[in-house]
Amino acid sequence: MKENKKKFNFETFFSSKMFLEVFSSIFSIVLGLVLGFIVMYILNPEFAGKAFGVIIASWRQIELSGTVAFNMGEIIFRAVPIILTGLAISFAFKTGLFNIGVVGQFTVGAVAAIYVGVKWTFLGDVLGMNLHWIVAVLMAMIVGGLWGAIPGLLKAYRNVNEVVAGIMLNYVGMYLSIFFVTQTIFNATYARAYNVAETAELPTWGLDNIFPSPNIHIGIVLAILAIAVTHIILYNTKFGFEIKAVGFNRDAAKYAGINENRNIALSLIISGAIAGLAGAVVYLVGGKSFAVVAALEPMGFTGIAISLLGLTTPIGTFLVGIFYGSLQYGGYLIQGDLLGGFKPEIVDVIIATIIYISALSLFVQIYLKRFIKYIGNKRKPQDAPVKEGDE
Amino acid sequence: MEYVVEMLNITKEFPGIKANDNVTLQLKKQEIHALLGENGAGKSTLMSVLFGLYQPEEGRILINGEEVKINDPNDANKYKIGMVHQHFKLVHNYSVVENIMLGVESTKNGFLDYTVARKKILELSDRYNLRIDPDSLIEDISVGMQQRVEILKMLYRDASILIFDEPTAVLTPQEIKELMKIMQDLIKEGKSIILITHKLKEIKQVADRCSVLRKGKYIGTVDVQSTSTEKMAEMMVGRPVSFDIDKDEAKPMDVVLEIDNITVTDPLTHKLRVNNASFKVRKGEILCVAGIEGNGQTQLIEAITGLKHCDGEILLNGDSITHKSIRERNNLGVSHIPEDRHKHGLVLDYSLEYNLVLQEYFTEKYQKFGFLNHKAIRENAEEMIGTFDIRSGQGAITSARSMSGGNQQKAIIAREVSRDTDLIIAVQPTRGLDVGAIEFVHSELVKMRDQGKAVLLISLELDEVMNLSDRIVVMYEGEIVGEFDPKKTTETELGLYMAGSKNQSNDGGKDERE
Repeated sequence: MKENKKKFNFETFFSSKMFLEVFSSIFSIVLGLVLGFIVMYILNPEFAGKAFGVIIASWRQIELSGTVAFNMGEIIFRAVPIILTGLAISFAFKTGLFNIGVVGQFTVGAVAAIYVGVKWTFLGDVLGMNLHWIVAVLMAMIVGGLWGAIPGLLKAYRNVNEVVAGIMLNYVGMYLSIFFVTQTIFNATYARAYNVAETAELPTWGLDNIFPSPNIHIGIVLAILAIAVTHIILYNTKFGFEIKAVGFNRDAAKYAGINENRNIALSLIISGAIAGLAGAVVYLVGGKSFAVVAALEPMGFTGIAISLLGLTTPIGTFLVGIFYGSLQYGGYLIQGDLLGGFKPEIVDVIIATIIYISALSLFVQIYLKRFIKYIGNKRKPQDAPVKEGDE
Repeated sequence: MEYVVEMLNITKEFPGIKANDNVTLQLKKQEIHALLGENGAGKSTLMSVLFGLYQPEEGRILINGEEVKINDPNDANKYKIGMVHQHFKLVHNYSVVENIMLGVESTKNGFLDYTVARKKILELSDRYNLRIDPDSLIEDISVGMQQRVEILKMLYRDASILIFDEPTAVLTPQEIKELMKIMQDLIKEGKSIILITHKLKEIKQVADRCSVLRKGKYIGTVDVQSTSTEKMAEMMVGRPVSFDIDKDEAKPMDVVLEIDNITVTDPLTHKLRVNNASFKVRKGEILCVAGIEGNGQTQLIEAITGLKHCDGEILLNGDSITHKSIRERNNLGVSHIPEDRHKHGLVLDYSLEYNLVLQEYFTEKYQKFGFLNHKAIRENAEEMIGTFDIRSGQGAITSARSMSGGNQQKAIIAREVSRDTDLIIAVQPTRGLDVGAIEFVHSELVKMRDQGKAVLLISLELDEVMNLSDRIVVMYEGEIVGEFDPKKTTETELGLYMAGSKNQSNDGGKDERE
């Protein structure tokens, strides 16, 4: 039997949890794209094929926009905030918490960053260094984290459901932000917040040389850093061991002497800080201003989908986030007359379908398992070893 | 036609494990055929193959002498095979009749026809002496009656080959006796039964023949009447098994744990769960807290380990730990083998290696500056897997969820006893385990005692209490009602105290015994 073990085991690999999950994510994406194509075909059969090609390979569209590097810059610009909100959700998921409050944490973080960016201009030159944007980013993370602490503490010490608290706090955060902006940094002429000072805009660190897009900045560096840090926290540290244990089994964690309340609170605080970072990355940009409108930030909700498609892991979230950015950019490109003048909302249809189908991932997994079992059974008889006689 | 079912040379493989390796089972008409094996020996797999849930890689199945292929449970029904699962498959807010006809509903003009079904059910119930009330809801009837409903479900579908999967695990002694009687009645009426179990006593009572599986392999079939239980146990475990626990006289030394007037109040109902309990556990002895389930043992242990708040004083090696956190108590020398291994003992979604360091991951050995030392964690797991013979599909990285109950318990015991603490608290450590695993747990506890540790054992099984402990205290309604020397007392006497009909603190007997 021993040599059998070394061989590639067909059934073990294909029925592993990892494979099933990755496959069902990919399956959802493919099906979403197919459905999107059908919608496009109904709208405009002549250009559907070409425009669809643009959507799924937006980085290759040099004849429409310039270079591949430029396209990548645009894709990254669209992906970064979603990666961060997705990461915030993924991190909380690992503790068994559904942080739907990222929406509010994103908004209060953004407003904190804008406030620092507009008011604290003295930070632009501290002993010859520009600390302005750094402080603005940190402030966004702190305020986002504090906003996350509210549902975190409520969950940990009063067992209030974090989804209910999160949804409520999304509205509280949004209206509080509007109130705060109108009281402090309100540009009444345009009914929006003032733009941040130039020193508070996120620097490019030469990234614009690699990706020559006007929208590129170090947001992607911050996102990769956040992904790396959370990945290390979750899989390589004592703290990660604890929060995952709490997420999987609160009773067992308590039994093992883990302070489960503290870990629940901390998890939502960190998640909130990441959401706040997302807010800073979006608004610490030249020409971007915070509009005083009573609407919840959709990036937070999109993050939920990105996180789930990325199997709630930091690295998965990153990959799916980039894919999302690419779709979004494709949606932007197909508006041109050359491609039949599609509306960019077509991309939202595709993404919505993907999300809808990803909710069926368990369903997909069940059928996939059966299929693999079926194939496995068919393969088995030929290479089964010969038996000895009865005892 | 001698055999109604023949499963010949069945082999069923799962990734990393051969669940059935050339297994043969032949069931005669009108016999009760026991299928004996430890947890994970492949009994359930074999029955799932017969029931069409799995397809075997090799082997043939013959029903009444004809070779058949059973692709799914519907095929199994066609061949009149029925199964009573260990965990009943009943709809709780449906009535007995509704549950039984579920799936084979009789209709009249498109409407459900209860009268026909009800009549047939009552007939069957009378014929086999099942005594069920067809109109009561499942949630209102006892576990024993629920099981009889499951039996009726099979009979209603005209099954003639009946499979019982560990049917006695959930029953009281009286209910077990009743079930045995029902099984014998079924045989008389021409049915044939396969009884899956690891309880030798029941096999001896009711079965005609017995087939033994061990680690997926077919060991043999024996005639129950002419074979001793010891012989069958040996076939099952693979070596002679002693039912008596082999231990020397205890040599109690210093007091390790002293609890003084512990009181635990339920925060919701304000009921007293533990009422002024006091006792001491010394180095080198096993103290057993005996009692009927739900008399405060769980709460007592939760108080000692810090899972629950309590009033009173808990001393460990002379120092008060009453206000210490769980982590602090663990570090000061408390090991705890918990009652519910899925709820408290393991993080089921963690790998085996992670579970094995659940109490120590924060120590210098397994982390530096907050970063886990995966190499040390793996080495620890491999060492424990070797020492304690923990079996799992993929070794250290197996998810705890996919391990068998016995091996999960072994993992917990490995983790807790290797921590080298002064006090080991074991709460029902053998619940749901088979003979081999029980023997292992008992010998580990005795070994710990002999190494000079204090062992506090909570057990509901009187056999275990009498055999394993050096001293017994009995708990009744949260109170310690008596203290006994197992050599000087009887099960009957203990039973009286456990049922609350006697109390040493009232009749002053406690002083005499100390």
